[in-house]
Amino acid sequence: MAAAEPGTIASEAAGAARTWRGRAFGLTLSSRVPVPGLAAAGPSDGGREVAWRRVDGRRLRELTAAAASAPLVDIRRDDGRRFMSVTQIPERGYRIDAPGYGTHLVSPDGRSIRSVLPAFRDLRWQRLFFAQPLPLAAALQGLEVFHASAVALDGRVLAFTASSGTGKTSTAAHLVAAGADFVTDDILALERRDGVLLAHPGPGRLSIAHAELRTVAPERRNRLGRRVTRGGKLVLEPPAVSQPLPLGAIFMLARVPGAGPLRIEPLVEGGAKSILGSGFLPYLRLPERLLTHLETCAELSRTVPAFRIAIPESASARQVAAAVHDHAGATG
Amino acid sequence: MTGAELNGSAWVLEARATVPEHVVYRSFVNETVILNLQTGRYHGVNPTGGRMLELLERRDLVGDAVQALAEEYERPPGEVARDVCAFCLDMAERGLIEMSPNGGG
Repeated sequence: MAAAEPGTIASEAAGAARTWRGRAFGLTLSSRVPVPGLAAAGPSDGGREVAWRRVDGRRLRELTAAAASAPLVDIRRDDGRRFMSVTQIPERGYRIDAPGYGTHLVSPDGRSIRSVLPAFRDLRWQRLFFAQPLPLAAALQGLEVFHASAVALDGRVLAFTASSGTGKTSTAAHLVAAGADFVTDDILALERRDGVLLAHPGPGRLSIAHAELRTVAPERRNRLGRRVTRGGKLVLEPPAVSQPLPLGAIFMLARVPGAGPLRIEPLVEGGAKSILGSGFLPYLRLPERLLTHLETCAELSRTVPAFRIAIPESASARQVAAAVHDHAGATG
Repeated sequence: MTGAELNGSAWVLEARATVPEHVVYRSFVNETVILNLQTGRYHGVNPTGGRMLELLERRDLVGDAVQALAEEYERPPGEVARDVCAFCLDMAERGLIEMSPNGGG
């Protein structure tokens, strides 16, 4: 079944008898309608499943009515209006609410997401859905999620972590334009399996500033896929890997003041802190999740080459990507 | 018994050190990270500290761990004893190990 056109959601009445399956973050999502941005799951895809259903606001309020709930996140805009909140509701799960972007209830075991979507026909709801409920479901099912973008080169995944605005996505975009395969933007799901750390593909969406896209050579822009939206940041749909791949290296990007050469150095000092600090969903502090996070980070530290990229003010994401590409070729 | 109550380290060698169930630790490349699952707080110790923790868990008494470490690192037992007692004090103060005097369980 083809993915729905951007900005639309196919009729749920017509789809009620069918189930569409898509995949991202190591999960197979079942839905009555295709979810734009998720690749269709094959018949052999299995493992961790999550059922997604749209519900109306009244139904969600019934599901989440509880005498005691624990606020985990409450982010406000400058004018005091809510930007996003996450609330833990006993026995019901986690309610994620971002006005204008939707409200979602993720079950305690991560196997169900119920969503109230905004009335707008654009893809705004996906930004929240891919950024919070879906990664939360993955984490609740035992995968470990990191704040990282990633590409694949020669069958190995290269991951990029950094604070927001440093260039994770831009670096990944330039690498994809240069021939790497897209894995994920902004959130990376890892799984320990048979002694290997596997990186799972995320949604097929990459968000990049218009100005950054203009720095990509015109003859290479096609590799970044079609444009899904044009407002604000560009959302592109690059061709992506279809299977999890071994994590080959992790790069911590850091802007450094002043001029000087761009440097890629083995991460030695502060490595544990950097790796632990790259985790996503800091509000999810269940003991089992904290343990999974610690074990995944320890294994990453011991088995995956880690590097720090010191990026001077004058260096562009394109230059960072070129340096990473050369480094990956040299180190194998 | 808290770190504050471990006054005078001589008896520490005759004590038993245990890692509570809610405390876990894993080895990273250059350090061992200890996590208190109840508080969500992380603590880092160098590889030697990580090895101390392992041996304290495996041996009946702190003094036994001291002996093993002295042999492993080829250091004088007295010197190692001083370091291990200080380590136990610190870990106990942070709630990461529990000390039972006289080898109590």
